[in-house]
Amino acid sequence: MTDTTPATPLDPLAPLGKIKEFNPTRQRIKKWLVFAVIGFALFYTLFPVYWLFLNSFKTRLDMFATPAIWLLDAPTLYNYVQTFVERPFLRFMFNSLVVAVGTTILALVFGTMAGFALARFDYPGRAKYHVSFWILSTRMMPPIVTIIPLFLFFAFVNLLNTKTALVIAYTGFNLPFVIWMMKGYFQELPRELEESAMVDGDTRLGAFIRVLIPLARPGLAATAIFTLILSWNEFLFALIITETQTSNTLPIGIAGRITQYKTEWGEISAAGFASCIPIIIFAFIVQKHLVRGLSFGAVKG
Amino acid sequence: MKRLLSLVGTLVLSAGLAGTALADLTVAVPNGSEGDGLRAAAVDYSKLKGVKIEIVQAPYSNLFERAATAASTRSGVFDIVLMDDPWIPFFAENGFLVELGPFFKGIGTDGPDNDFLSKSVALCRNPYNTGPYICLPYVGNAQLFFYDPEQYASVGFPDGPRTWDDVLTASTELTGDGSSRKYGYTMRAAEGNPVVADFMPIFWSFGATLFDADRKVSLQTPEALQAVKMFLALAKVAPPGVESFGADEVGTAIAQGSAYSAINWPNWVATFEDPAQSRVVGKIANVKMPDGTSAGSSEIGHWTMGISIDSKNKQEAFDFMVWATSAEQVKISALRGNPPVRFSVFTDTELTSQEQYRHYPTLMQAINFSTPRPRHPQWPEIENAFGRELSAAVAGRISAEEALDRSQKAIEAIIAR
Repeated sequence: MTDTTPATPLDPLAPLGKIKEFNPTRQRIKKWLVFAVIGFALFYTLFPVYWLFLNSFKTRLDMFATPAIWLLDAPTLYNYVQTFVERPFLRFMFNSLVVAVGTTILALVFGTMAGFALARFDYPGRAKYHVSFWILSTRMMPPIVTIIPLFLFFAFVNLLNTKTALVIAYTGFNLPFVIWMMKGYFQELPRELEESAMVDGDTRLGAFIRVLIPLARPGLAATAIFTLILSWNEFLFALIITETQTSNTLPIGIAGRITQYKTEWGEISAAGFASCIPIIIFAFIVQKHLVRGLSFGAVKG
Repeated sequence: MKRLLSLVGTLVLSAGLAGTALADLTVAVPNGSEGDGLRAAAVDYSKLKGVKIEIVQAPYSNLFERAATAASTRSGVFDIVLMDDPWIPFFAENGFLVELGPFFKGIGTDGPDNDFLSKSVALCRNPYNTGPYICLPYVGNAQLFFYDPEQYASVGFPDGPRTWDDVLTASTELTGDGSSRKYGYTMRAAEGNPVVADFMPIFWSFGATLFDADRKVSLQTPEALQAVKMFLALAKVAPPGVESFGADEVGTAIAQGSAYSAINWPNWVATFEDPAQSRVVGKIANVKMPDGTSAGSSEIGHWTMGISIDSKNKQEAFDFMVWATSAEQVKISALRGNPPVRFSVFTDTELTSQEQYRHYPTLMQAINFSTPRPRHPQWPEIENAFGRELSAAVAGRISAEEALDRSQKAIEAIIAR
């Protein structure tokens, strides 16, 4: 049996359906829930930094006091003097700076060009062999598996205990990340831009440097800060490859304050807190690019 | 901003990426006061003699691996290694160390002078106390028993503990039900070196030995079981979580006044007597190890310098070692926080009149009555295996009998390799 009821014509003035009523209490709860989540996230991320800061100005006695001392009661610079005057932490910091900046520059130079090539050019096996995936796959293995070959290689070329060895190793490990980040950014940029430049007489390299690089600046900033942080904090390779103050980086220097008999928590806190400062400064310098850089192009494969 | 960034980058990179310094001598040392002391001495020596010395400093656990790898690969990268004394058999029995006899002859003697403590010098011969000299002692450590006399007096031990039973009785009373969070005793029971270092003095004081006269593992004995049971009983009156405690946690508990007795290394005396680091300034006594069924004996823990067989600068290395272990330099090293190895420095009134060196007479006595860790080339592996089972027993995962049984098998397997 078929329904023979004629269809009701649409009444333009009829109500559209049940509209969710505005509930101020629910809105307020929602707002406070959001604040609570943000507050927890802030506490979770900032409290360790605060505790590090606090301990760096405390005596060992205050550090282990029960109940804990939550505010700076009687600050002391003793830990900073021990760390930066009595011990060669300024040297370690300089080494870290050389290695991190060197790695970042090298990884960006090579990674940007490789990312551009992967985003733009057709090359044999592009679709079949998934070259860009295999580049990324080098990040999937635990770094420790490469330690022995790298150690032997650097010993063979007489680069053990040098900052150069660290820069080479870190550049190798950061390159896949840089290539993939930059490949995504370049894929976001229309081909027509560099083609226009080339039509106007520029070379491909010229178009890349003068047109695409300025446009990819947000991506460069975001990639640079990640590379810098990874190189600045790296421990494992530095532990194996470096030996003396000539090349020891900050993470090695800090770990060195754990001795057989005693752990110098005050010095570790002072060095740890001071080691955050250069990265924070760099992050502030590039932050205007950072947010856009993180969201822009990051989802492209 | 771009200019600033590029300027920073250029300056930093132009400061030079490479940096291997060519040195006359390369010395491997641990992090900590021993390594710092020798590094400072090396700077003084360089100024005095014009010899360039490179100091390679590494964490304790990493130093052995580095030195062992360098020795095994015959790289000769280290001329001198500052060795913890239990490492000596590994380096000596594998032929990685230079015999010092001919060098001593070169300076008109047969060996180290008589001012060195005999136990310190005995360590530097392989086999122990009888073989040729293969190193020179630099830092003289032996464990001490630290306790709070006031607290021990309050529970009926005005003269301090004489035996481990005294320690257990007093600690049980002082800990009570643990609600005050003050503990009569605390211990290092973290796996590996910490728990073994804390256990061995108790082990020896009950007449147990790890190896018998034929160098066979001898852990399944009534003496060893008695020692483990005492160790576990002490763990019960110690703070919760001691199975993860190392020297730092134990020292901190004493310095904070939350534990009243423990075995630890003498380096902690300076911390206990420093008002910025301690709540117990002037309150902590240190004595030789309490007795068990046998006389108590501290574990000796010296830092010694040996010359790599592959060093290309053996004579220069020997000259530096002799200079660094002279009475004058050992005293300077003591002022830098390293216990001495010479009688004249232990009894130097300029030092012993100061609060932070008041433990020197006790320490010298402890060294003189100390016992070395079993002299075996595979000791680091043995220590790890033994430490794993002891720590598991302290954590309550296995019984005393199981700990000994498993250790016996694990150590036998290591030796059989």
